[in-house]
Amino acid sequence: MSHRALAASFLFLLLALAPATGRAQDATWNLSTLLAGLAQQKAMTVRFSEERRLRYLTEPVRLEGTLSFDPPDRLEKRVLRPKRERMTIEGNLITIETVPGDPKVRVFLSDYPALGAFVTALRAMLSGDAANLERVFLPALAGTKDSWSIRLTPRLPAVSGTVSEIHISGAGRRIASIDILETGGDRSIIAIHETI
Amino acid sequence: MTRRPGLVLAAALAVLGLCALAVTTTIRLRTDLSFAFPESPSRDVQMLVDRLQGGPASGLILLALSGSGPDELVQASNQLAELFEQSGRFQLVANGRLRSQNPGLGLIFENRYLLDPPLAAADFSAETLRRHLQETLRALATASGLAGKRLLPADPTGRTRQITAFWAGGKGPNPGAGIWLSRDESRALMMVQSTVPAFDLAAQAEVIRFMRQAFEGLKGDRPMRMELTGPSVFATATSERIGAEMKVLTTVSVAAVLVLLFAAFRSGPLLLVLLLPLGFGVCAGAAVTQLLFGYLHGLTLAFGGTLIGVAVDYPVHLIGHATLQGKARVALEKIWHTLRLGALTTMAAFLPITLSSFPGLSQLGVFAIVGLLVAALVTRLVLPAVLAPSAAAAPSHHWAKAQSLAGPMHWLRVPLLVAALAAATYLGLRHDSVWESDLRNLSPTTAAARELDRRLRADLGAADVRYFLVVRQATAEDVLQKTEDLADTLGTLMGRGQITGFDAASRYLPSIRSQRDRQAVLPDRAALAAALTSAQAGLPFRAGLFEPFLDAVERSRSDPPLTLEGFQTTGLGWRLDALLFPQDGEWVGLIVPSGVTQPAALVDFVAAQSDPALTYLDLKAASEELVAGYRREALGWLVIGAAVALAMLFLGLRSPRRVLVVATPVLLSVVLTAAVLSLFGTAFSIFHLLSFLLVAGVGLDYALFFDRFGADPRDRLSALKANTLCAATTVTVFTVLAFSRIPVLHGIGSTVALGAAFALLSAFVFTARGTLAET
Repeated sequence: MSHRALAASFLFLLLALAPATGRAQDATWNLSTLLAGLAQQKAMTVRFSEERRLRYLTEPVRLEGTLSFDPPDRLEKRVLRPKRERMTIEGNLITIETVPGDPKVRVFLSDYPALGAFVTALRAMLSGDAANLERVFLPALAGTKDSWSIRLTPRLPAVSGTVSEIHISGAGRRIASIDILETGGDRSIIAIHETI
Repeated sequence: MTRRPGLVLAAALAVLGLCALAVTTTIRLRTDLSFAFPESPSRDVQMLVDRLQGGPASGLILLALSGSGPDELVQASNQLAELFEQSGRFQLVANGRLRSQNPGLGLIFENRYLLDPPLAAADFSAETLRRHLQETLRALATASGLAGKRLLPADPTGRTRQITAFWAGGKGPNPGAGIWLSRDESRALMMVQSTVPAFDLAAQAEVIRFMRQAFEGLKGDRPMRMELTGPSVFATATSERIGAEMKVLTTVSVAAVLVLLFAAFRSGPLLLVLLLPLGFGVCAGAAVTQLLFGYLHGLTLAFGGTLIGVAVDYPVHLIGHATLQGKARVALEKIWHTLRLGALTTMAAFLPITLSSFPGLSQLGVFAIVGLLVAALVTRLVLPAVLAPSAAAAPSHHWAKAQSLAGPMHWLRVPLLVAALAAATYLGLRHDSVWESDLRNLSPTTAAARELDRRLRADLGAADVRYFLVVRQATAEDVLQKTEDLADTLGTLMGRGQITGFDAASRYLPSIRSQRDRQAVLPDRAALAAALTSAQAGLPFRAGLFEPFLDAVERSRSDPPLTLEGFQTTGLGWRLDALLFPQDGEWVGLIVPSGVTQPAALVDFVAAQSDPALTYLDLKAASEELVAGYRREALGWLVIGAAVALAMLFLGLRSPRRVLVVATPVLLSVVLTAAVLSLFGTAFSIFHLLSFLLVAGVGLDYALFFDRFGADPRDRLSALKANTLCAATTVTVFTVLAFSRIPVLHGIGSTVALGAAFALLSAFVFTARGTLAET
């Protein structure tokens, strides 16, 4: 399985799981406080829709489904349309189920260094560990508390070979969209909708 | 004067030690299956034996993890595989893990339009291409579909994936599903092959120990289990079990015999004297066998040592007579004629066996003859010098009492004869069913281990390893072509449900001929481009995206075909090793059908081809036939051996009546032992036959000594004492052996223990009247 593709899939999966609602915050607002806010995770599920702009195709591929997070590290992405698929990541194990009841595909995060780096960094982000995030990416925060965006540029060669940059935007503690730009030119834009 | 025998004994023991050292350091001991197989049965069986012994298949270890949920199992499988790989002890670690640097995948990708499954012109039609493109479009909306994205421009029809699925054959673990799990997800599966040669049992055992340690370290306190199977696992487990059992059995029997002999002789050094003939006999037997055959089989050593165990009786006879009649030299002169006749007769019985076509049997014959000869010579030449005159213990009045009780036992002759007649009749009526034909019942591998092996093979989709079609041709290419020709016809057997499938080298490496045919089917660039354009109409694929596909097909049309050498350099060679290999200047291909419901259909299939290059082989039937042939031959040689021994007896005794008196109890004890064992459900194997030979050998000595020393009451007392002591040690040692859980050892133990008891009884009974009459 191509690590580039998996990396892209999981990147948005992890990023999408920030809390969808926020409360008023302190006057001093920076990356640390933003991450601290994002870090207050509970088990949750959100709807998403994704637009994949692939350089192979003249028009984008659109898909939708749900994303779930179970602390401390279980993540699940269910694609409902156009083709059902369920993918979970827990610890080092990635499980993909295409047809319920059929044998699942099981692969390992550690076999995909770029993806491994994302997951490490993004778990760090979701748990408010800014140091670990900054080990893998160079984050640049812009905007205000109520309308912010972070641009992540990979530091590690294993990651930068795959992804050129990631834009995450949101309002307060809610992530609204994730935009992943791959080095090959492919792009995924994910919009996060309501919590269910 | 009294110190001299002690010195000679010490010197003799030192020489024996040196001989043992010389023999153990120079001998090439073999412990493989060759003992059980003749040198030239059918070539096919020989080939499979070679393959199973030293071929790659014999070093393969199948591994299963169970006892936890599937997620935990695959993680453990992954970690274990990493540990194995890092250890550098393995040339193959396969557990289904997908890797970016998989040389095999590169080979499949590069040759995707030349490999099986077959391609047709229709596979490149606009309609077929369009169907593939539509499917691809849907897949791009999934993570797993996206994963194949990189290959899409060069392989839009998913040919690479199709080939890996074909190779997996729909059996065994799902090829695309990552770590191998059994279908019910209760076991994670792995296949490893160590770098040490399969026949090096010690090194294999070390590898297996390493695997178990690695697992124990990984498992922690989880309830997870690791099970291993494979020929080398069986072999090491067996040798460990035999080793452990032998340690216990040897300790117990040596202790029991020492107590027995010490009670009889009340002298420590005497016990060492007893060792000399047997010790020198074993050394000489081993050395000569090595010299003649170039190697010594482990079983020859173990079994030969048992067969010449009768040599322990020689010093017992000598000492038995010496204790009563004074000096050892005098006693030796007295018993030498009888002892020599016994030894010569037994050696005569072994003589024909040396001509056997089975290397194991002929080795045993040589070993026994040389061993007995040397043991008898040592008894004659060395023992009188080492026996101190004071060694004699005072004759016990118990023996005299026993003799007076035993004296009139000749009335037992008629009941014994009747019993023997009944026994012979019983055996005669059942002669077809008294034999063991299933090799597996002789194998020390436990039924549980065999069941585990069967289950793991089924999990991994490994074919049944019983039926084979064997193709022989001058070149590998010829084998592949012939296999392909047969494959089409074999398909009809699958259609009729007589087999479910088959494995053959040509599945993985098509012949150059069919690769060329495939190249002829591939469309030229212009035609493919036209079909692709029409297939893409209305679909959102970027123009020019599939240029790499057009290039690849065009290149495949003129690429040099994939050769065996090319295949073997990719790390996938192991797939072919067991299915296609050179032998005796030609190439051999195996077609291995699976799910065989009607073996007869395969026989008919091969017969219908009427091709001398194609043979059918049912390994189970062949090995059963082999065992039966082995046994028939052994039985034949034993009958001839008995005749030769009888002739020898005539030469020695020069009286038909005495020959009858001596031979009758020997025959009786064998017949009675066989009948009793059979009555209790024992099926006879070659090992029982050889045990009967030992029974006959000791029985002959008993009868000869009783017969020779029947006249004088004091002599008769000596003979009774010596014979009883001999029988007691034999029965003790072999009763202990009978407690073994290893079928062969148990069989030998029970046969000889029972036989020696019968032999003593009948020898006493049948020599009694005549000799008493003479007094």
